[in-house]
Amino acid sequence: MARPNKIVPIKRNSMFFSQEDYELEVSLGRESLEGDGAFTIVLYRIDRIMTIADEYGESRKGEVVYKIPIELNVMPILDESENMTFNATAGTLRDEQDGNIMFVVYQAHLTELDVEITYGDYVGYMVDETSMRFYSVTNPNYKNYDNPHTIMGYKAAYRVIKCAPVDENEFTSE
Amino acid sequence: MPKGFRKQIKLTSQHVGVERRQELLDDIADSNGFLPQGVGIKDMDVTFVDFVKEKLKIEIDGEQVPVIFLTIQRYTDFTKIWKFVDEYKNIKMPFITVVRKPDIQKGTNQAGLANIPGHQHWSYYKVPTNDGARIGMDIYKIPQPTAVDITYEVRFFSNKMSDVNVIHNKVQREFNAIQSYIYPKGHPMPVTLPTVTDESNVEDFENRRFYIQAFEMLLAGYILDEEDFVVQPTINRAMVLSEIAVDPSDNQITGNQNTRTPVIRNQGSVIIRNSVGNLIVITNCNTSYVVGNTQIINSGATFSISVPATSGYTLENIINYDSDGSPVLTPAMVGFTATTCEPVTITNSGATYSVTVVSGGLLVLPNIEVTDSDGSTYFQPSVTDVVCTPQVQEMFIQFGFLIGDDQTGDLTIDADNAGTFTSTSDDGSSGTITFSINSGAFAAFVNPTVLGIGDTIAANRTITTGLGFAKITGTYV
Repeated sequence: MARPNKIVPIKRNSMFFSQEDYELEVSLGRESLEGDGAFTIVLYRIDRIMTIADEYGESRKGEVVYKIPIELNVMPILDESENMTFNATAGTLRDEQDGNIMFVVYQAHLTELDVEITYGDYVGYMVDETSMRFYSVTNPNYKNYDNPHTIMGYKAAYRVIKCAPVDENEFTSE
Repeated sequence: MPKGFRKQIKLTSQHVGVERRQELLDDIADSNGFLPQGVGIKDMDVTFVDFVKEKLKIEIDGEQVPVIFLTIQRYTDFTKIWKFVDEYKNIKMPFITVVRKPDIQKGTNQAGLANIPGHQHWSYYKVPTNDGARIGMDIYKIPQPTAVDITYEVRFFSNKMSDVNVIHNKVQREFNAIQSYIYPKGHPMPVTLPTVTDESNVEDFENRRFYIQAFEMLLAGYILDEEDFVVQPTINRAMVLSEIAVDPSDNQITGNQNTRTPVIRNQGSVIIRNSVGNLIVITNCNTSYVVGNTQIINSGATFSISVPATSGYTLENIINYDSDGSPVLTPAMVGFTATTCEPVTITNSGATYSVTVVSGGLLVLPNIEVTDSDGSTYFQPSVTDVVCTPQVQEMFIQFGFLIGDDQTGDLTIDADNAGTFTSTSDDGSSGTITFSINSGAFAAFVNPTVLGIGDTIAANRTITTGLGFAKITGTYV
């Protein structure tokens, strides 16, 4: 993405929308999401220098080193678990696989926390008081300037992060 | 390490050649008898799973990778994996599954050659016998084993490439000499590795991903059913003592009473058979045997007679009846063909229909056309009664009013106007019209009103200022 060496003011929709309106919309949305909803996930950002990996770049349980976990206020959307079998041809060895998780987080929230979500980072979601399910980020949604992710087409306001479940022998936050 | 240094020393000598072959036979022999141990498909399944557990045993992260033999019954899934599941009852990776394809194929254990037809038995072992009086030999026979090919799908599940390396290293080393062997009930059977395929679901990177390595292993086995084993007594040695009496006075046989000619008496038995070789009786020599009667029965068991054996019996003639009812006598066991009947002429009572039918022929009478009372037509089978539908005709009775008259006289119904009346009408200027039936009170017209022969009816109106009429309409049959 080309970045001009100057700041260019956004004048889209200037007849009835402005930066103040945009900030109002974002603050209202965040108030609803972070204040009323109060859904949270824990983001485990991988320390790619300290993490132990083999020749294939793969790590085992306990070898993944992560930075200080950060709790994010998000709006999670969990897919239904899927009743599958490992032996698809023989229909044996049932496995109730976790559905994917997708969550919405305001860019302003990430900016305030000075956090960036990267492909391959892990997130944890408390399904009850004692259990946390872990997922791996499959799409951090860097390109969030499409129409649905902007407010009135003015500027991007939030990101939709997609994650897939991971096995316990890959990551458990321990 | 110096050259020639032996890292492994075999403390027991290994048999080769004939001794090794005998050792293999000893391995398959039943320790409780002289026959080999039978081997079935279940034995091969159990031994193959043990083969995977022992020969393909791998440890990852200090834990042995579980081997799970799977069938389609759902409860067995959890029965076999409960030790390896997480808190959500899902099995934890890595693990190995073994699935046997249910279809058993014709075997290639004999290099694709077929068995000798006839399910023959072949000598396997000779066992000496001695029951106190006889010394003999029993031959233990077994059938030719039935070769079967059984395919097992061994799959390895993991989410680490290094784990995949471990299983491939193990499998390829095991099969580096084309085949490995398993020993169900001691029978050596080769296992080959026809194909190795990758079934990993790594294409969809937005879902859970793991490696699946599928090893298709072909067991060239055979079935040997113990129920087919045969123990056959064969060679017997018996000492037979025969008494030979010497009777010098028996000159009728020898013809020379002065010499000591041996005479064999009453020795052995006589076997009596009929002319087709069936055994009738075994009787002692020099004893008489009376052959019983022969029973002659016809096929329907309606005739039977006993006649002395070997004597003739003449069956009586049988009576047949010809097509005209006359009796015809023919010898028994001889066919009879009746004479053919003359053609038959079929006609109706009015002689408007006449057809000739040959003997044995079939005639279907044509339908007749019926014209109903209303003129409609239809067809129905011949020689069936015709019932016509009564015709319904419309009719009406009209009453006239003169100026100033409010009532008509009584009309007596006769055959011309009897019927069922269903509606009424009038001139429109006579007010309310009422009717009196059989001199009853005047009342409004009732639908339906049935008027029979002899009934009376009169009409009445409320406005009499002009000429008028009243009319009732109905039907009669």
